[in-house]
Amino acid sequence: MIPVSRRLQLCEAGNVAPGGMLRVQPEGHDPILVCNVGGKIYAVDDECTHAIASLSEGRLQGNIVFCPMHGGSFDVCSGKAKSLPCKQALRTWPIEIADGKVYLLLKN
Amino acid sequence: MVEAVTLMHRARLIFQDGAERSVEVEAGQTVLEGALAVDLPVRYDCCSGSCGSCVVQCLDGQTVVDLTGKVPVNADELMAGLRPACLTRLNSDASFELPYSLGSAASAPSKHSAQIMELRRGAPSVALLTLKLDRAEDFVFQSGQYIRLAAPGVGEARAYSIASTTRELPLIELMIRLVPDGKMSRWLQEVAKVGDRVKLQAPLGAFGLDDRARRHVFIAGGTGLAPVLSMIRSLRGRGQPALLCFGCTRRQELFYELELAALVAEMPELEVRIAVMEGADGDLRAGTAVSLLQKEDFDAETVCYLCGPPPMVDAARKALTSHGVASQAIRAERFQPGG
Repeated sequence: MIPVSRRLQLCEAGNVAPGGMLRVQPEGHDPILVCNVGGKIYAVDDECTHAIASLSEGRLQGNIVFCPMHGGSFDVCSGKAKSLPCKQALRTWPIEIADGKVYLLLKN
Repeated sequence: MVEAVTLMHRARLIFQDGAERSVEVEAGQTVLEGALAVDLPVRYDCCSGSCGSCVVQCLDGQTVVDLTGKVPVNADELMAGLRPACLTRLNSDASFELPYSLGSAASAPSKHSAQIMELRRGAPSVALLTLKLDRAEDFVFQSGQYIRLAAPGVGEARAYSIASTTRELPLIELMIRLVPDGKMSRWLQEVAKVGDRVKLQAPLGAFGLDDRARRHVFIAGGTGLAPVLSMIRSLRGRGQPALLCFGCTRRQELFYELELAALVAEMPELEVRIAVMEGADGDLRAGTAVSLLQKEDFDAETVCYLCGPPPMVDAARKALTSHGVASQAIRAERFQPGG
């Protein structure tokens, strides 16, 4: 069980169709990329760990998101970098879906 | 009888400081992938053949370069043995020379935040931007390297060479070509002001001084002045002779004249020649930066550094070759105005 101090609403779960992704910028927080992989929602940092680029402007293929700038890729489920020039993993975020809404869970 | 097929070759990587590392490069793998698989601190950026950060000099061995997409070197450079490591595979063991030291003090690229300290025009199409890094304690770059700058609302980040040196940190000076309809250009002209905050990734690239050289010749076109200016400034106090040939298209587009004159006054070992293609007067010569070169400018211990638009770099390489300068004594950075 993750000790949770607060949760931030990201979007309506229905806003992200299977195979889709959505960039959300909660106030006071770095932008988050909400991805729907086969009906399951994942949340990762939106900014590529390599260059300064928004992954939301790239493409999601299955569970792999491709950066629009250099084509490097990440597994949005694990955050793991899958192809160069990306080497550093993408931060993944715990989420909760309640009442049809996606919440980001923030630890203490 | 079936001949055994070797699926793996070795790449011997020789760094500028003489350090050597041998890495396995599997069939299908690029030399860059082989080096990164063992976490060697080799320089790279885009991994897609456009930035040129991973270009190395092949000394021996059979290589195959993927020419199907973007390639950051031209046919002459390929003939001279230059290889983009991200596009190069091996058909035999091979050796490569890298244009930087394994023991280089340059930091690994990372992201930083900064504030605009100064923004002015050097010429109608050149913005001179000074940034102050929020945290520069662990930031070290090599003169010649570049940053990737992201401005609020501009979308894709753009690459710009650093014109200042590590001595000026936490300040970083950039020279930015303003292009019509460019998003960054518009932001700089219409929105940006002192105090604004930006993000950047740095340091990037492998363009830099060859510490083994005794004499340095710099050839720069337009804002290609930035990285060579950083290199020249970093030579202060070394007493090594240096020549800068700087060219701009028109008299009214010429920038940094006074600053260069001040630098010459401070560095008697530096000679600066300036040319413009249109409107030459006074000490300015008519022509390109390349036209300023003379046969007497080179000796066996000279290294030449080229930075500017690709046609200028190509013309300079041809001119240097005709003056008898060896390929290994030429280093180049191509500038593609990014908008």
